[in-house]
Amino acid sequence: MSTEAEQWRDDIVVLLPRLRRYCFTLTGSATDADDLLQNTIEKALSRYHQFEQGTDLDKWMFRMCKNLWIDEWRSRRVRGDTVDPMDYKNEPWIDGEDQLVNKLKMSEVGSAMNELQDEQRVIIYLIAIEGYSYKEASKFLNVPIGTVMSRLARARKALEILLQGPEMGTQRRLQ
Amino acid sequence: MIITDEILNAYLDGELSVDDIAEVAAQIKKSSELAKRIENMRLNDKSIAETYHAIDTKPMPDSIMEMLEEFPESQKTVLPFRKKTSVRASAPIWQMAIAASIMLFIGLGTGRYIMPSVSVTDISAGIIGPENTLYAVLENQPSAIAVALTANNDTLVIPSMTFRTSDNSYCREYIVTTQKSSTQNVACRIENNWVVKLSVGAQGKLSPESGLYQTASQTDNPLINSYIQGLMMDDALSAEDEALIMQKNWQ
Repeated sequence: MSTEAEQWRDDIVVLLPRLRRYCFTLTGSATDADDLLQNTIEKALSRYHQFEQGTDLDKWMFRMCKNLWIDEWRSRRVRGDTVDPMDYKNEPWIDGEDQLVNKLKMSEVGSAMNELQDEQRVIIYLIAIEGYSYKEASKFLNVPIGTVMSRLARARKALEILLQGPEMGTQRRLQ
Repeated sequence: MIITDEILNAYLDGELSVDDIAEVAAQIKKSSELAKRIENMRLNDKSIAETYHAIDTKPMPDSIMEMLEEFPESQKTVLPFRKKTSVRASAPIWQMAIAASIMLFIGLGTGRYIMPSVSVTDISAGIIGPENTLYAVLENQPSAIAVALTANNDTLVIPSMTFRTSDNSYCREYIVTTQKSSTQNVACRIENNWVVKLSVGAQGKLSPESGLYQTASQTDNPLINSYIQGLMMDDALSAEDEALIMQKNWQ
């Protein structure tokens, strides 16, 4: 039988893959994603005593993760770091026989995602990557479903323009 | 109906009513531009999902797993008292035995089949489709029987258990091991593909001298076991139930 603390830890373990993909979506780099994930887990564990029962662990962790990334991003801007976050050549795990998907495709998709506003990237993460329903996304983001729909529409249109060219994504109203 | 971007997105995401779906589908049928647009949106979503799910197959950093393993002892000084609440599902004995046997030796002579023209790339994809060699292993290979994926026996896959999740999909735990490294993985069957959910580094590796799979003296990673326990709806499938669901093509 596990203790409450171990159960809480195990709930985080179940969350890890989604949280890691979220880090990857935010940072655009697998290496940065794992660093961000590590910082998030470290901070979460150190704040176990502040976690109140009944709190949505997903939201608690994701918010912590995003805040850490914002801090990191600000600090990089201050330092003047200019590393291209979507430079997959820097990813040691995508090489030779271990290559997971076509590098060019990853690079193009990653670069396009990187062009999106934060809120657009997050809505794409929720709907296209994690397969949330609009209702689940609305609950997760604390916004009305109408906002989810308009934000998603803008994000997908921006991606169409970036990936297929400006002739796509022009709004069409057909009777 | 005026087809706005929002409606087109809701159509793509299956968020419209049955009547609205029919109406949008009819308009798409009449408009090649609209059809092209929805196809592009679908392709973009697929590429994005594949790109960002690719990280699932990169083993979880040891430092993160260690940090979690050490919890709550690492935080002992600040932990308040909380009562115990949970009861966990347990795997059947035959699968416990498998976990134990993985620690010993698994001979390649038993249950082995060699698949032609296999590259290691095939076993790394985040979404494992029918074109992928690992797909056939996950679809058809009973748990506890090792499969050599390459003619020179340098890549071995061992499915170790099958279980059902609360959303009624099936998942399998399996180990992929080469002479260099080993990973312990969980993949779930989603829309006729196998999708890698979690991959962590494991202790075992192939012994080049004997052609056998060996692990270090450590047992399975407890955190991947916790992850599996979090996904499992019931106990893991028995050998008979596993064979049955394979016969029914996982339906």
